Amino acid sequence: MVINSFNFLFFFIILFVVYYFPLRNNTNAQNVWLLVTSYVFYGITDLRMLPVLLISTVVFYVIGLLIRQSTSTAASFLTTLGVVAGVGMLLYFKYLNFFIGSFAALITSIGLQVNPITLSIIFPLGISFFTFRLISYVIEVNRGKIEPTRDFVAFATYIAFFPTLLAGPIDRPNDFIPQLRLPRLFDYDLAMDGTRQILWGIFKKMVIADNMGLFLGSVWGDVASQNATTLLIAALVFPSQLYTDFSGYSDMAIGVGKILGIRVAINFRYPFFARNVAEYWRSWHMSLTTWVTDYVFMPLNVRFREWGTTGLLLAIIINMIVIGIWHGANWTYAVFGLYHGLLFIPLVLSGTFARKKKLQANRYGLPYRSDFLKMIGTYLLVAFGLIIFNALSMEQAVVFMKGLFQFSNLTNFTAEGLRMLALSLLFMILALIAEWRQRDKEYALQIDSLVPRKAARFAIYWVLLIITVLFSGEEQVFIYMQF
Amino acid sequence: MTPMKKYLTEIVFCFLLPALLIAAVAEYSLRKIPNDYAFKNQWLTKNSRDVEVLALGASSILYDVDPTYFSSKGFNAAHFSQSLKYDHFIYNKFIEQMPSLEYVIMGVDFWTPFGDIEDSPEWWRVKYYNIHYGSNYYRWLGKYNFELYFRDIPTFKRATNGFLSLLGLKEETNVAVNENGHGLHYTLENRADNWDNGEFEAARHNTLIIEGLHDSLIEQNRQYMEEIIRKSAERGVKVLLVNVPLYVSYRDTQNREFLKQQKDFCTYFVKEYNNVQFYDFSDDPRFTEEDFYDANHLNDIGTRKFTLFLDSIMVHQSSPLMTKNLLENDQQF
Repeated sequence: MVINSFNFLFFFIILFVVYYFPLRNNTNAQNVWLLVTSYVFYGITDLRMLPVLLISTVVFYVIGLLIRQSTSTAASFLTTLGVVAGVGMLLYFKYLNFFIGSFAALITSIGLQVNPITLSIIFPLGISFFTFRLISYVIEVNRGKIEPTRDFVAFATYIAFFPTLLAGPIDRPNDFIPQLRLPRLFDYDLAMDGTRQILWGIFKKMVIADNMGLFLGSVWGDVASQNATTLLIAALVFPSQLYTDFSGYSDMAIGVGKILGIRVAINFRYPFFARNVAEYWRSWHMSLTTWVTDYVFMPLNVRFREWGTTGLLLAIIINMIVIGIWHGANWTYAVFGLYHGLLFIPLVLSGTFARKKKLQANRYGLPYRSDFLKMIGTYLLVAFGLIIFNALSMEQAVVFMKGLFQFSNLTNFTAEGLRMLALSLLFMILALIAEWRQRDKEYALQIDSLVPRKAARFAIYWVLLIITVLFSGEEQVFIYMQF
Repeated sequence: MTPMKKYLTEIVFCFLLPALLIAAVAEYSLRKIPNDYAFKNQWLTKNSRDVEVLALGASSILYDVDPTYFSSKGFNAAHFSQSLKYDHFIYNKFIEQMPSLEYVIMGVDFWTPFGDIEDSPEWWRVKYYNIHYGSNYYRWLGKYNFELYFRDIPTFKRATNGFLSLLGLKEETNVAVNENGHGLHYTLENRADNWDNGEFEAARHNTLIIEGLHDSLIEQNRQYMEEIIRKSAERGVKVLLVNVPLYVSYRDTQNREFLKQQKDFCTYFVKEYNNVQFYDFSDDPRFTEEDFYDANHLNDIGTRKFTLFLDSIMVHQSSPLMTKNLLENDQQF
């Protein structure tokens, strides 16, 4: 069940009615209801993997309780056990076949015969997201940042909260679990804000990402026979598709959370206005980057401190590789991470790595030219990295990059394909203008102060709704659901 | 007003209800625009008692057979890309009310044994059988039941025209057949300069067959055809299986193996049932360039000629020879 479907709408209406009518004065019952519906949601999506979610939830819940009751050494051991169990789950379900294949390739390359056995392992949807929540919980408990919860329902709801279960954002226990202890009476402003954010997410996903997806699907489906122009356009368009697809999902998830009175972690903060790669990563998939920063980069940075700048760079590069391979078992993701890690080198050496300079508009309300050029440059660097990211293999990425220099007059566009692409680009530009104007807000459609009159705001929502109905592309699967 | 009441009131009355109302009016307006499916269903519901010749099939029959030229009362119930499942449905729906029926003409194109409109690029036509003919296939799937499944600008433009028609301010129609169900507009006058698209069309059909090929579908189509033939036999109705005239470019690009299977499909029924005859006009030299609208459809001149041939067969009850010849020439495939 995908979040932008009619099935989800019916599911959510039932959830909403029960949540806010019979259960409105009973926080515990609301939590139980959220948990049950989250499991139903996951079960409908993939029933086979529900036991994995259930068992891992129970195991980490117990580990959390044991950590608090243990001595410091035992607590560290239990935390390590939890981290190993979480990473082990990921390794087994996501990476085992990749390791077997890579090992077999290595053996074969030195001239030995090998017949690798690939295991038939089901890939559990959302595993990368809920595993990181589980790991985060035991680490935070061990660090003493949170008390281990005795409320199993609240803990399990945190792990399985349905809007974020399949594609994030990755909430942190410190922010999420305490919300489940508070009474959740209906909040009009929050719910209206959430509804509006869902509308903005649906617009980005269905009008921009899905229309771009049709074009990009045809290009990536047959990279070898595309000409340079087509490949160049595909390379330039893909960051926009990925952004509108993933941030669209995040907006919908956050919006659903708000309607239920729960604040979900912010995942994007206008990454295309980033003036360098460091800014980009501070505003892209923020729930993952902050997670990896806290649990990978910071410990490494402390460990490598004595090596000075070299140590910092090493920590950053390892950090970026971890972010890369979090996406899946493929060399492309590792190389993608390494590429971004290398892009940090000039930033670290010039000292601009950690500098946070607020974006300012010139007297016309536009970005300053120097900022604008830096934004374009960052976009191009990101677009290049995403060629590697989106390729099925390094070989395909190389074919794509070589193809960028194979000039010919032939174009592979059909009239319909060109129309859809032009349309989605037009809406992308309009969305970016709206985002620039609203860059201080959580998302672009948060227009209460810009348009104070309610009737005018509702008219804008209607326009967006009509555009979504009329121009939505053929439904494409959310890209980040595969991770 | 409580916050919840305020929220629900705004969502329901400012968005949900207006949106539902617009959608309902648009869907209703679209359904009320007259089209071929609605026309043929209404015509058959009203006049099936008089029908002596019923033509079923896809566009080749829709455009190549004009019952106006039959000596007896005929009706063309073919539609674009109509596969045997829907021939079978229409036949079953009306056969009990056709006491005068003497002949059923079944178009058997080379893709017919493998054809399934639901898996073809023309799947969007399935909804018309549900909406207008009252078939009950896939009632839970929106794409097979709602005009508004396509929510693009042309659809809403049509809906607006439909709505204006309902108000009597405009006359919108999508009926493109004559009073006997024959498809209009495929005339010599309307023929495009680059009308010979045979290689492309046949290659496209070859690909579609390959993409949708599976044995169970062939068996299912055989059963649909068999039931039509069996029920016809019980009523003393003859069935003519017809492969329409094709232009050389189309004919030469057809996959040989599929052609053989098409022929086997037809000869099976000819052998098994006395009321069946198979006529293959695909390379009939009497049809020349001037008779075609495109490589696999006839124009008005060709249609007249072809319909009169069919009429002659029915009137004179001749042609066991043609069938026999065809059976004897098996080895040519």
